[in-house]
Amino acid sequence: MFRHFNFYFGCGILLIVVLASLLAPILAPYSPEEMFVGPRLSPPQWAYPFGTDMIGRDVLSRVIHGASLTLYVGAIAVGIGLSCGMLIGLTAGYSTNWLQGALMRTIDVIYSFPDILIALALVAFLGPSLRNAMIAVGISVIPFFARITYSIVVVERNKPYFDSGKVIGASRLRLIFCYLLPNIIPSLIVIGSLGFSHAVLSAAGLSFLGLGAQPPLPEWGALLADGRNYIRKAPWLMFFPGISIILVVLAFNMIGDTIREYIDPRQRWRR
Amino acid sequence: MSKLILEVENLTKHFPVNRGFFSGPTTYARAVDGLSFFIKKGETLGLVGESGCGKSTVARLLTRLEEPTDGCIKLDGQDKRHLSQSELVLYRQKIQMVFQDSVSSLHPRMSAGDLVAEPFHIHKLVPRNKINGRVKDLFESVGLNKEMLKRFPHELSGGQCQRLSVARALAVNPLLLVADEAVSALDVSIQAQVINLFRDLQDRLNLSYLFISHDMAVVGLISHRIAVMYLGQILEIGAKGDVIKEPLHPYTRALLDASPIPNSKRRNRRHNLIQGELPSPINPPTGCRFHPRCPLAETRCSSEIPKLLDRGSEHFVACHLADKL
Amino acid sequence: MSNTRQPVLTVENLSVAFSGRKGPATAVSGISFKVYPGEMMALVGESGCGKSVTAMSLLQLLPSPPAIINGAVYLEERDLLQMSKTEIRSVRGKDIAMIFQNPMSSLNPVLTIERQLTEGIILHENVSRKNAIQQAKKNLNLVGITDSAERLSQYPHQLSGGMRQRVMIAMAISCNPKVLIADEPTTALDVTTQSQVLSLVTDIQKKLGVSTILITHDLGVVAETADRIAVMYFGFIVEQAPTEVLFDNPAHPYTKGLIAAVPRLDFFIEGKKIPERLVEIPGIVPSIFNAIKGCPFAPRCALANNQCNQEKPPEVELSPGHTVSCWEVSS
Repeated sequence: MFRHFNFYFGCGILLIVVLASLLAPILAPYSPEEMFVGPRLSPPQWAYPFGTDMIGRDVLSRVIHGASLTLYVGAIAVGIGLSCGMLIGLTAGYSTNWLQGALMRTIDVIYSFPDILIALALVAFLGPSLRNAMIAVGISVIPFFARITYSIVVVERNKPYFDSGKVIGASRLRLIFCYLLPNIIPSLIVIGSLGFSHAVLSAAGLSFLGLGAQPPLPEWGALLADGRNYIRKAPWLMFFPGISIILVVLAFNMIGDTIREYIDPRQRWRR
Repeated sequence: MSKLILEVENLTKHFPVNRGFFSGPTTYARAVDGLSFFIKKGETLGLVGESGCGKSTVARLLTRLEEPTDGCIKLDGQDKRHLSQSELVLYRQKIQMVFQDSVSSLHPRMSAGDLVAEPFHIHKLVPRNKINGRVKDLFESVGLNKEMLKRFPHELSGGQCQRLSVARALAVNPLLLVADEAVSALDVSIQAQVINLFRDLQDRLNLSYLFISHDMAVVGLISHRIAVMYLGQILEIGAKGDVIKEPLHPYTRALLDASPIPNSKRRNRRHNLIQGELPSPINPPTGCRFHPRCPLAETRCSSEIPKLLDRGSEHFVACHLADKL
Repeated sequence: MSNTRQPVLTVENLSVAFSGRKGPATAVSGISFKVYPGEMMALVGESGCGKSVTAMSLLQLLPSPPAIINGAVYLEERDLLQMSKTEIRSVRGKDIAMIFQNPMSSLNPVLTIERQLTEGIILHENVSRKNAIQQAKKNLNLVGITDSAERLSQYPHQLSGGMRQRVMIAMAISCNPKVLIADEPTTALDVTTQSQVLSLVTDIQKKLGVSTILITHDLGVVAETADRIAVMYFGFIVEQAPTEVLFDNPAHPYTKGLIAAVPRLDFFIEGKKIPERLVEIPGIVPSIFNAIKGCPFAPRCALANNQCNQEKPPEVELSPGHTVSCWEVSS
């Protein structure tokens, strides 16, 4: 029962966010860039449920429009990180020669730097923009996915059923695609959803520092940056974007967890 | 003399033991050291020994999960060391293996039917439309019900999984089946069923087996000949009746003595215990590897390695003192 | 014989069930047996028969929901199942000790042998650390570890499997318990090590007069070491007898089937004819979620009749000390 609640709650939030991003022009009462729709810095009220910011823009509209940016950022970043990381981890985990050592030691070295630092460096190199922030975050999480994939591959390929596949004559391709992948994908799905939330946080962080989404893009991290100087006077400027980030992160964690349980045939039996 | 399915000569496997990342391997674990034996068509050679003696490594070497450091494996006359991909596939049609842990040696996401069908898909032995029929035949020959086809390994009992493993191994019509502690993890009543299954299949299909176990009684029941292994070497090998009734090596005698028998007359009997534990294969004792634990050891035993010599009627033993017994 | 003495442990109508989502699963169904002073009593059965659950329940080691435990276990006069948590803790390790199958998981990997051996002694006997260490050294010598001083400062991973099992036995006997429960103590060991450990256990049993409950699936082991045997199937005790009686005159079809199914070496040694096929017991053990009407072995029994399928057979005494639960036999 409890598990199902997690899943539905997570799906519910995700649904809201997806709807918000798809139907933003319809749902949002105002344009996210339109200034002085009401008095500056007015607290949440009927006309402006999330309040207005320092140049009179409606915060609710900005948050709604920012939803699609958030999802976009998370998806691209995880896409880059997961695909490259998985490839590296799979290659390193499967090989038994010098390649394994070389790859994993390189990954370890990169991984020893905090990924946000790597993302910062990359963005500084590429120039601040939301697109560059996505690429930078994506690259910065490659070591994370590579290491996870590597450790799972190493564990799985030492299991007896893998030997059984070899003895029966399965080719290397078959062993990788039919034996390894189906057993590493569930874990990767959970890790991927965690990665999604991590990517959203990192991108928000970069935007907060001014290196990601440039104004007037209403990316949630940028909204947090906007509201930073007004945290005492107008806390709603940070509260609503912040809560949105938290909810999306929570949603992906819950969904990923439930999917993993569902996909694992042993867990399914135990339910 | 019947045809030799398997001839193994001086089989050796040394595993490098790493001391650190940057220093190369400085020592080796001598898991299998100069093993020689053969298996005839339609016979079962029982390989018995305790944990750490290297018998599982032998299984892995024969099935090419590991490559030998030295020595030669001749399967059905073919003894090439480095096989190409296609040669390896052919090799794998001749020798198959059944593992100890039946449930975890089966792919957890493949159904029972898929598992038995897989060898057919890999080796393309029959046309695609005939595969289902063959799978059902194999199920029947190992005593599995057809309604198990859609079940997954974790939904089956240990005995059923083991039957499934046997069916899967038989799909390629192998000449030699290696059973690595195949019945050790099973309950007594199920063990009896699976042992009977092995014997029936051997009678019907003229299969040869290398039956690996630590249990002398099981090996005694199912084998024609028995080889006793200790710390990577064969100490005694001969016909089953000879090895069990008249063991020539002190280790074989100790193993037989220690094996419990469900006979109440043996209660409170005097145990001829051998002292000590199995040494590490990284630094095996010099000379005869059993000498530190042997109650009859002499000075010669610690310096000279005894050779495996025939003591009559193809009963070989590697012991300097075999003459005196 | 044994019926003139008072039993040191009496198990009366013990049943253990686990509540779960699919309903209660009965692991042990109303078993009764007695253990007399200085004797080795064996509980024999295949996996899932409830023998380990029985052992754990004696010392209240099963977490009580989800376990539902009924019946009584009398240690001399006191009922162990009714004891409070503090009371049972003073029994564990002191009056009743237990050794397990895998010594590596019962020894704390981060504590020295000395710490682990002296812990129980200091706890129960309230002596100084120095005295406890002396006692520990004596116990190590008793289990055949001669270089006790060196071993005390070592950690579990530095010892071999057989050594660890000996250390565990030393821990168990450190406070001179009345009863020792050994749950599959040699299953994970090689045959030669097993022989050493079993010799040791019988030795200690005789020297200290400890009653032992040996839990195992190995009929060979019980034939050679046990004084009395109880055969368990699906949570029931189907037959109980002194060892010779059980092997010479097994009464229950399951016992007979089990004995016939074990591969044995004495056929060779005595020159008997080796059977062509092992006698199989057809079928498999039923699922514990299905409540069984009638005799639990009936679905697999060649002699089963209508009564066997409908009513559970009562325990009947065939001869002093030999009881069996079977309709066919008791008629």
